[in-house]
Amino acid sequence: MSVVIESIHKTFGRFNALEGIDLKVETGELVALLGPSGSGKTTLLRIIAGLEFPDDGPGNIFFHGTDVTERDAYERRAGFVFQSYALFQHMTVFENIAFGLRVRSRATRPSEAEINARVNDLLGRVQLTQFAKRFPNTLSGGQRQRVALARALAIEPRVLLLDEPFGALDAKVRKELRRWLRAFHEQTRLTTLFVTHDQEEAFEVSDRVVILGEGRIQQIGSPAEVRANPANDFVRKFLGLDDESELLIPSPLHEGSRARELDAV
Amino acid sequence: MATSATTLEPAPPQEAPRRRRIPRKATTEPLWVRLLLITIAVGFIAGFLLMPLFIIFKESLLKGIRVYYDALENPHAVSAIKLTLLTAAIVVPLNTLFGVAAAWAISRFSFPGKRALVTLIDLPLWVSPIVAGLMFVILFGRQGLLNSLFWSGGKQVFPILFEPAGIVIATLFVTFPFVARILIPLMQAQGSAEEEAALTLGARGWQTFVYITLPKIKWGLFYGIILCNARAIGEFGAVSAVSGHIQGLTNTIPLHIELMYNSSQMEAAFALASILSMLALLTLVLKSFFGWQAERQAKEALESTP
Amino acid sequence: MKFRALSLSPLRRAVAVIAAGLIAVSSASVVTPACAAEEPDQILNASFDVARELYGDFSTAFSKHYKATAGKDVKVNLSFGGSSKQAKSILEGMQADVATMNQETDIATLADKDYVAKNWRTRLPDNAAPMTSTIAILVRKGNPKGIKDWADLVKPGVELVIPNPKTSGNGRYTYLAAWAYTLRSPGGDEAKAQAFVTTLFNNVVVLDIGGRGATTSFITKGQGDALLSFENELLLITKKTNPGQYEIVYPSVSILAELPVSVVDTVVDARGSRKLATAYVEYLWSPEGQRIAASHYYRPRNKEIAEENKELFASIPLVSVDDVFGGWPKAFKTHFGDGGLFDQVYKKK
Repeated sequence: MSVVIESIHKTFGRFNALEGIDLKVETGELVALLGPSGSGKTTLLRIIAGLEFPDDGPGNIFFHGTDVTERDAYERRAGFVFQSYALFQHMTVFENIAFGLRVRSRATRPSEAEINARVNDLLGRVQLTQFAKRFPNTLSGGQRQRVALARALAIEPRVLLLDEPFGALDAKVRKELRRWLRAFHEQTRLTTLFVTHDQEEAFEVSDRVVILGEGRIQQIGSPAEVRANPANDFVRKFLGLDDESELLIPSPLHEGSRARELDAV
Repeated sequence: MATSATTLEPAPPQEAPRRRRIPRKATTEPLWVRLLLITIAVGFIAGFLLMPLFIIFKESLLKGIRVYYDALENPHAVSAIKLTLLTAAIVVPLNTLFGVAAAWAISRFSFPGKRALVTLIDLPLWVSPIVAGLMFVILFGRQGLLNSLFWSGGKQVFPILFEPAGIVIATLFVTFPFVARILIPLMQAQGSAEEEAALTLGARGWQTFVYITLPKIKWGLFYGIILCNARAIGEFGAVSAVSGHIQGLTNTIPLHIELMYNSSQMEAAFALASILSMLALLTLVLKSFFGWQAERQAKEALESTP
Repeated sequence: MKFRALSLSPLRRAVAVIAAGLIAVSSASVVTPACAAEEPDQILNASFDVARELYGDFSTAFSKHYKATAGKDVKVNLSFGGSSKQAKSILEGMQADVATMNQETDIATLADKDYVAKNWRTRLPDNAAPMTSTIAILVRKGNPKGIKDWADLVKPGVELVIPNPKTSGNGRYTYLAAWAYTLRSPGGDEAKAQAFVTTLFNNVVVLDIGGRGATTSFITKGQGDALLSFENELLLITKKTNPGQYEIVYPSVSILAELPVSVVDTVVDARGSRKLATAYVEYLWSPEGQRIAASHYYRPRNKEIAEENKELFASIPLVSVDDVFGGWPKAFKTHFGDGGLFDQVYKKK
């Protein structure tokens, strides 16, 4: 499922959050939206999800050719993982994951048995089977994030959106989860966009990086490209390429990795 | 490493045994101050709450249980009770609906005039109930400001003043803010993240509201409802101004108590007052329970947001 | 944060429900029927608090009588409140067919605004007052302070409980009675009357808003040596609520308090209930009506029935407001209006 964004503008009052955003994400790509705080990356993600709407004007969003610009969030089937997890505190882990399936209209809702099967399958995939009956407030941060991910995946989304998914976790857990995410993506091949301000993370995980600054796209390219040819001063400054010394940017974790056990998180 | 369900906090380190000392926080007062304050508080409660309750029940039973029951079975007392309950039955659901809608709008939206709306919602709390009632008389009365709209040929176009509807309207006004005021800060503290999540998962507006929002505000909602109900049942000033005090038709329990008192039928007055007192006690118990739960929920909401 | 994704429908729904609820309520529970093509079978009597039992009994008797004579079932609804408040409610549109008050000024207010015909006082007998009362003195059992007449009330050390003349008709009558007493005493004039009343109110230990409050202060709270109030209230205390504990002392002269009644012309004409309302009011002069008044300790106008109850009502000279003060409007303006004489009397305290 490709995502095409054309000429998106967004202002909050007098503040220009986004200006003239054009972006094309190919099916199955894992794209990072990278930039400093205030650059508009979360706003862009929320606009794609339908949680915000772009200013009136020429802007459009297409999911695989279909114009979804006017559609409400609940119609878009864009799985969203929040930085704060936003798990339903009053529901068990199982219920959380099942939620998206249960609220479907009678016509499209799967049977109880099917819902059970799917949820258990997802629990297995995020290695949280034994936590099915627990409540979110008894889980660790990393566990909660995995529930959030499973929940988003339950609806078989057309595109997966992650908003600083590992932002609230400590460094070690972040690293583990990052690798796990990449491996997971290799398996599912789901078009994914994720927002981060951590360039290490963006460069390690993504196929392409979109660098945002001051509400505009500063550069788009593969990590290697961007590293080698920063498009302008902003990019250079942001990536810390100003001084001539070579910055050690870790090589991407693309080839040959597989899902790792995630015990410690 | 084995998967553990525990939180990430490390176990407290072993400490060397300390000297025995009563642990004290920096903000704790000395013992005598605490005792004094507690004594004052308990004395106040005993004097202003328990004593009047005791006296009400004692006075109502002074001439025996037969007189007590007669007072309650008196047809005018019965219609007063019915009118009071009917008013509450209309006012509480309406104000609950309004309160939820207002809290929803205020905590989830930004729109011009939002501040003004919040202030306006609080308005009935600042206005003395009698003033509120008189306000309706000034508006809807035959000598009132809108009399050309509401009066024709010496009769009201809509039955408002001196009718049960007027009592409902006056009560609606004074109990307006209760549910909204509890829910607004609660919903603001809880934030809309869970609701947004529900939307992205495909839930429509009403589903999000029923499955996500309502369970979260449940206790605060009950708390607000119970307050609204107590006020609706006990309201005197505003209702007195618009009621007309027609026996059997527009007297609520509080008005009927006043009438009994003014016509020297003290046992009857106290008998009905005892009914109100029992309702008040019940309200207090429920309110404490709900309030405690709501507090717990709000605390959890604040703690779970990273 | 703007949040268009969630619709405003809960708010719209709430408004719709409120509107629907109000319409439902007002149509479901109408007290005054919207349209009266023929003579209605319900009338509303707006009366004063203390008269609850009096008019309760009277209305029941009247319904029975009307059924027996006119063959029709009629219902009399009763509203009780402070006399002046009831008058204001009628002005604001309360559909009272009849007003039965305890002070002339309240019906006069209605006449001023043309709710009641200007000749209301003369179109019924006895200045439209089927029953009267007067001011008497209540003392504690044994009369420890030996109070016999007005002069004893102004002695130093005697504590009095009187309702506030500014807010209470009851209190106004006491004030006028004391004034009239002085005027009728040898050498009495306006100046002496004012001085006497001043001293009287100097002895007042608590000035309650109304008669009920004064009774509570004297009986329940045990304040004061003497309570000055309407005779019917004092008889209620000595005969019913607190028998044996108090004594009534009748002064040498007191004031005639007429309790006026009237139909409310605008209402009865609009509702077509004039015949029924007039019958109700006129029945107060019937023997049965007069007996009911007496049984509630109001002095009946009917001479025979007054004779039957003469042990209740001491025979003392009673002066009228018309004779001594030129009528209530004048008395009110002179004494009880803003800046009137009572303000001076009480300020000296």
